[in-house]
Amino acid sequence: MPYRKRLRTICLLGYLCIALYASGQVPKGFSEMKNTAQLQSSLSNSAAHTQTITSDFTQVKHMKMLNDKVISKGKFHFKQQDKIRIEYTAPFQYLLIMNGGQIMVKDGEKTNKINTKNSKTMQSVNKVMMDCMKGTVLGNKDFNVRAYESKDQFLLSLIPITPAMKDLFSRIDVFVARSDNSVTKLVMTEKGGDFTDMNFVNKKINIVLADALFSVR
Amino acid sequence: MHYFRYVSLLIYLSVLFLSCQQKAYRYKKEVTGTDIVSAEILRPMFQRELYRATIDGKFGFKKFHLSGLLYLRTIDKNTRVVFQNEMGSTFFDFGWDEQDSFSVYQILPDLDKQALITTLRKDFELLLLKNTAKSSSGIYIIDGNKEEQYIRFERPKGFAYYVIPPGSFDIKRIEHGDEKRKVVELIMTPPTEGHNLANRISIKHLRAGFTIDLEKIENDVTE
Repeated sequence: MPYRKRLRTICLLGYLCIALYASGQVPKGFSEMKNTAQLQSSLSNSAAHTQTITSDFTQVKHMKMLNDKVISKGKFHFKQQDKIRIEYTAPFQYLLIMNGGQIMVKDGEKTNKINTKNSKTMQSVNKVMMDCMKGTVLGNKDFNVRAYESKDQFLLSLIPITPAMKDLFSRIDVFVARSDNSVTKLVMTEKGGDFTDMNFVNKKINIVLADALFSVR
Repeated sequence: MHYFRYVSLLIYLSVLFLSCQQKAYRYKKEVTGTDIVSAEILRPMFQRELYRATIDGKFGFKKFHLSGLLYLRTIDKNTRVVFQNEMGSTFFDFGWDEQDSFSVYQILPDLDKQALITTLRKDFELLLLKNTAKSSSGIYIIDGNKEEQYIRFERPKGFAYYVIPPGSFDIKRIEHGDEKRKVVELIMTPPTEGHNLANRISIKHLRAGFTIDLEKIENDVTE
């Protein structure tokens, strides 16, 4: 075999090995779950008993190359079946409401309404957020989902399949507490390697939340 | 009667035509006896700045509005400008090295249009005095207003005026264009102090019809 051809074959094999290793990498402290049917049913069961969720959150954007972070904080609300309110309170004011297929964003005095039917990206973002809350994320068709477990948590690792999601993320990791099957952390990783994590704290389940909180009018 | 209407129309059209042709900086007078100003004196120096950013404009008949965070950072004499949405997703990440060579580190496929990149690049180069002449080519007073001096720097296309009060280098405005018309205007509120960046910066694209408003986030949050 000529030298160049042999070199190309070796490079290709090396690349394949790295790709296989990377795709099959198990996060530290977790082991892969082969059978996810039981987890799916457990998540769905918990979600069926969860009418509302309220929590505080801290969001940290990690910029790898710049060795810096941008931190923001706010309030998160969820109400069955398909209502989410994310309200950033510091260091800026910003409100995002998802209600059915409608999204409303309010920054300062400006209000913007988006019908997700007009945007595949917004549809997917809407769906993945709702799935995380409703315990149906394992069935999301926009992603290849792998499930891992540790003593205290489940980790659902979502690798985008659709072009719209691939443009935004290289992976979304959803951390779920074993104790109550609620989402404790979301980690959204971009193509360049920068990532944003959202940590949910001071969670309150099934407190009364008025529909007005989720109004998109 | 018809003749009168015809002449009126002609005069109106001529005035309209002439006003369209009017130069942007017609009544300018050079300030004599002043030194050449180095770009270094006006260039902002910063480690890290975070701005709340909103973009408003019109595309055809449709209005658009976009918001997010603009992050500016100097690291090892390189400058980076990153625009991300509130949830952390990066819209674009631009950089300039020590020699002002420009790179696009990351951009959303929807925004990856040469015309848009060039426009945004020019805006930040005006603000950060990158890829500009090393020293001014003149200082002017426009329309007889002695409260403002226009320091002119030649640019690859046209020129930029850095508008300052006399006796200070605090920038009130930056105007970019050519002898015929002003294309972009950056308004600083309050004016920059020394090498700092202003608290509020409004970048108005007068021909393209969109505005980028930046408001500095002072009280950064810690974990």
